[in-house]
Amino acid sequence: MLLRNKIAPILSARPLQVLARLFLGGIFIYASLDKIAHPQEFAGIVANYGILPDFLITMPALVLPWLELIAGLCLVSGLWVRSAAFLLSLLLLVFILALGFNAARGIDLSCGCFSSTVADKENIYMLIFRDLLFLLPGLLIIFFYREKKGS
Amino acid sequence: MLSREWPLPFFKGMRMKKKNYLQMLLMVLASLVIGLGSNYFSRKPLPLFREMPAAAPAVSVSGFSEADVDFVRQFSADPGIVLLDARTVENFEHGHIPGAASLPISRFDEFFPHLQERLRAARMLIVYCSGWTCPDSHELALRLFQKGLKVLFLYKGGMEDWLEKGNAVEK
Repeated sequence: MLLRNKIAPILSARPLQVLARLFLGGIFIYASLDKIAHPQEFAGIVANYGILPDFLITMPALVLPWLELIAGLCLVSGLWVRSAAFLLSLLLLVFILALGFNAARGIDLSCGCFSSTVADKENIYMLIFRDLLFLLPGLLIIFFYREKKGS
Repeated sequence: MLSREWPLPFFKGMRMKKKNYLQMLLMVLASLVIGLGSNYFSRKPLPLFREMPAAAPAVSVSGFSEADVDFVRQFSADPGIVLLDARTVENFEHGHIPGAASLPISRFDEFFPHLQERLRAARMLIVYCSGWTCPDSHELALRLFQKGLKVLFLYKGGMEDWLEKGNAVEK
């Protein structure tokens, strides 16, 4: 009851929702640009994750950045908000699993999160933590976004 | 709308309507079309399905030729060939393939200028890192390739394979 009466209204308040939308959408738009510009390098990074078989590398490398951009634009512009947030949260979940899989194997790889340069390396546990943080605004939107009537 | 469902189980709040699934499907389709379309019209399109490794056993996915342990052993004493260790300096000092030079990928810009002359004079470069799964040797090969160095071999087994085959290390 406390959740329904006290917390839920705060979490679904419009300023907070707008902030979550702009934050998550902005991050994904920013993240997609370098990868869209350098598909070949990004394909190399996807290959380094060592999860997909070699012949299946190109497809996600070409399509994922566009999906990030489109869903990010949806979030920022306020169109199809819950669907876009759900999609991006799913993507984050996939990224977290892929990073976690490699952390467990002890491989320290370049993330390919925000750039397509292999030399950009960060601690893999920090990357997982960061993705988990990004998941928060996603969940906030999925659970508490209230669609305008008639849309 | 959602808050009314709240005391119910957690997943209720995540429930998506048919409309939402349709929108997601549309977003995925749009990125498929744009992603693959832009590749198709790009000046340097990527092949959609890369060749299976079995079709080209001597060349790795990255396009660099691969060296095996015998190859490395055979050439490690040759002065015209430079073996490069892509691991950290600490790892290098702890033990490396005899004759190898240290060129840690994390400090590439710092180390490369000192080695540059020797690398350009070499007939062949072989790079390695800690073992089969480490990406450092591949990254190093790419960086070297970008610097214009051409005859690059990847020793994918790296230190792991070298030690497994009972070879000596240098400290």
